[in-house]
Amino acid sequence: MTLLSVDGIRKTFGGIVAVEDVSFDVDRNEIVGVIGPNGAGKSTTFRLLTGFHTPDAGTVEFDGEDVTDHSPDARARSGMIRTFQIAQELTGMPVMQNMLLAAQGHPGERAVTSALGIGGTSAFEADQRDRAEELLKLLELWELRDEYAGNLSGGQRKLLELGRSLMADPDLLLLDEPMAGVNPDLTDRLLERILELRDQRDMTFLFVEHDIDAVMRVADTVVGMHNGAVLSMGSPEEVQSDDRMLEAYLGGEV
Amino acid sequence: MALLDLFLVVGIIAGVYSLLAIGMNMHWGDTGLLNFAHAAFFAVGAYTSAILTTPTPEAGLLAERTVGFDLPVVVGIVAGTVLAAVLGFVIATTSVRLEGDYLAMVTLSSAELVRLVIHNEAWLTTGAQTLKNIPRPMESTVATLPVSYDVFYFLLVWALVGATYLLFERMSNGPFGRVLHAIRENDDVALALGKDVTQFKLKSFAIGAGVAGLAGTLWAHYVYAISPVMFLPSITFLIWAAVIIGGAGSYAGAIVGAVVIVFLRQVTRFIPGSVPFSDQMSYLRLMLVGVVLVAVLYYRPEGLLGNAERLQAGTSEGE
Repeated sequence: MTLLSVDGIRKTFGGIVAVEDVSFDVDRNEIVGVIGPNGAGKSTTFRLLTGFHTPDAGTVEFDGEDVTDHSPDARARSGMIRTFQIAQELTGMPVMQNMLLAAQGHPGERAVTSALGIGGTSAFEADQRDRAEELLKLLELWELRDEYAGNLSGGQRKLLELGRSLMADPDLLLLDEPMAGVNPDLTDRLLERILELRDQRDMTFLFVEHDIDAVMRVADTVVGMHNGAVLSMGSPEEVQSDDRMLEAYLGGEV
Repeated sequence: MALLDLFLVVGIIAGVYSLLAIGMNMHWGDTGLLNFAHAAFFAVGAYTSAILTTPTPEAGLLAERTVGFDLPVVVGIVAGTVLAAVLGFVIATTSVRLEGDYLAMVTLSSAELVRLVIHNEAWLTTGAQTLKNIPRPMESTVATLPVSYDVFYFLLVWALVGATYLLFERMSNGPFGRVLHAIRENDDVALALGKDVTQFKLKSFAIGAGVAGLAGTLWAHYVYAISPVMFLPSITFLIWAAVIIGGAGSYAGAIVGAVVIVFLRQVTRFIPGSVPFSDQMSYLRLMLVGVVLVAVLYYRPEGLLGNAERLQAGTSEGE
């Protein structure tokens, strides 16, 4: 069953066509990796999917609903949560606060309920703390829960960013280069977690990634991009053996 | 006894400024919004309450004001607070999507616009002239008590400062404040986590403006008479100085900063005219605020009660 459907999206910046007629589907419970060399249009595609850019043409459908004109926060509330390429922790907030921020539908986020502590604020907050504790222990960040996120190492920030997006309990998690700048050992753990989550929580993943090995290991479907267009799509083996992808990476004429 | 009277007067002004600083701290300290319209919220609170609680002036007086409602003071205080919050919401609606400096410019000009409207709409506000005879709350009741009115008003103002402080602390430390802090740190992250950033900014702006309006009502009912020159942008700048000196993000700091500023401003008024440079004293008094501000930023960048650890963490690069 299709969860995310991208149909003919296009985006130009001035005279540059960043993304041209990109279409693909992501099925429920699938892991899709988007790969491509620098300038292939991966990041623009990612921003179009998450609402940080609006496409000039084409549509994005999520869970049967046309979300093309929805704002990033509206998309997040409907169940698609993104991470950032350079981990964007709220450095001036403690790890635990970073986690709790991601809770969806928090009754205490209204000024009055927050000031007066009414409307089920404290009960909800306590539940979320339990969930955060579980996730932080899993990611080996529990000891650092009261530390400001700005004091974490780069790898720990990546883990926190993953943990924070999981706190939002998304249906679709969009990861922007989750392996960038992460040591191989940590990459393995992240990939392991993604596979576990897919099975346990029935989650769907789409990630944009430079690290082709990582993509090939976990993705069910790979979308290979070059010059703003989809060049090759299929199983990792199919895309890997597609000569055009190889040439794109090596800089040959396509 | 005279010293006690002076203390009460300075204390009341400091209480009013503390409320202003609490509002500003919600904008800047919690949400990272550069609000330069604070004097306007202060003015709207003061004028709203003054117009609602004074009777319609008799015809033929010098002032051409034709509107007055003669309502109880408590109605004026509530209405002044609410109307300032509404104004905050309206100004924010036009500008809150702007980035930092641009927001500062638009809010500053909005505040001047409000002041000029007050200055020109004499039928409503007595214009450039002084709006006089603003009633003091419970004045006749307090007169029967063995304490002076200033004691009563001092306690009233500081009770309101205390209540406001507690409410704002709770908001700031609760889930609502958490979202504001996230917006202060990084808009995009808040968006990516499903927070309606614009809505939260509007709320922050309206709530902070409302408290500034409350401060305005308390000011008007204390000083009997108000005029547009009391609401120049310099008020906004002094409140900025108070928030920065106290430590942005800390409500206790906002109060301490406001007290420091008011103390510096008021005590230096009594420097006798015989000292050197006494002609330039009014400028020197303003410079003193600047000197204190620079000294605090140099020796304690996070402010007197600010959070140094947070500031440090916020600037680190990771790895």
